[in-house]
Amino acid sequence: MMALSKDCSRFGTAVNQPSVKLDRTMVEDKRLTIEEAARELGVDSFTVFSLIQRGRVNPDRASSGEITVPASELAKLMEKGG
Amino acid sequence: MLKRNGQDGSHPAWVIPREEAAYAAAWAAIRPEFTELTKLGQQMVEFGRHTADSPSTGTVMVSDGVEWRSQIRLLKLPASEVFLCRQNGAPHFAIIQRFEIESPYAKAHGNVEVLLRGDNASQLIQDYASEVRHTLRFMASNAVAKAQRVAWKQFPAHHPSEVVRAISERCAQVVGPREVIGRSNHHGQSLRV
Repeated sequence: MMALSKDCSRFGTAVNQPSVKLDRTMVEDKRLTIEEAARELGVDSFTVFSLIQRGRVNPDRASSGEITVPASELAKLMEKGG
Repeated sequence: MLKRNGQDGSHPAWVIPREEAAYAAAWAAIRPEFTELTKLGQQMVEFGRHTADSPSTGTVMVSDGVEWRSQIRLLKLPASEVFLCRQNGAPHFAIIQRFEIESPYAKAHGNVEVLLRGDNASQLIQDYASEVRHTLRFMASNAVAKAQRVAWKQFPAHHPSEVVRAISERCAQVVGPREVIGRSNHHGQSLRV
């Protein structure tokens, strides 16, 4: 969870500073492969694909066509009720 | 190392020798994904054999205060399992995924998640089977994209599009009906398998 936690704290710092207007799309967001995302969540790749299909995680697509998962999406998912 | 006669790593006869290296590299890159696809595809075959009238004698799982008893294990995944369950004392059914209790996902959302629910168990199984097939095609598409990246990066002069087509066909064999697996290749043509 190290990479994820680091990204979360970075978002928290930026968003909590009232004088700096940043949203998540403006902050560089680490992209994880499906396998990396699965490891972060402690689930299998099948479940990550399934979460994407059910709209609970919004993926990105690399130029090769491979699916990636923004770390910010995993952070949102891991929030209670996400 | 390539093997023939349908063994793991074999390639279609029309992949000519000069394409073999590209095929081998691309295939090696997606071998874990293909293995998982194959295992899931085999479990999908079993879906059609399940009947919903099995006695409710399995494990009790609780989701949102509702007790469910497992009837059939539909999927065994590396880090979770999916069951057809029946609500205790009521004619309601659900497809439930159970995660490893110590996983970060389970800690955030609970280790039991209801995926589908309804009163017709057979229909639920069919609906879930349809979802799983859709997910398998998604997984296969991603594996083909990965193979395509590897083939084009390492062997751009070795007819990578033919190699990708061969891999795409192999993936399609384990995920079901013929359809487009993967996205357009570098020449802009769809990979029809």
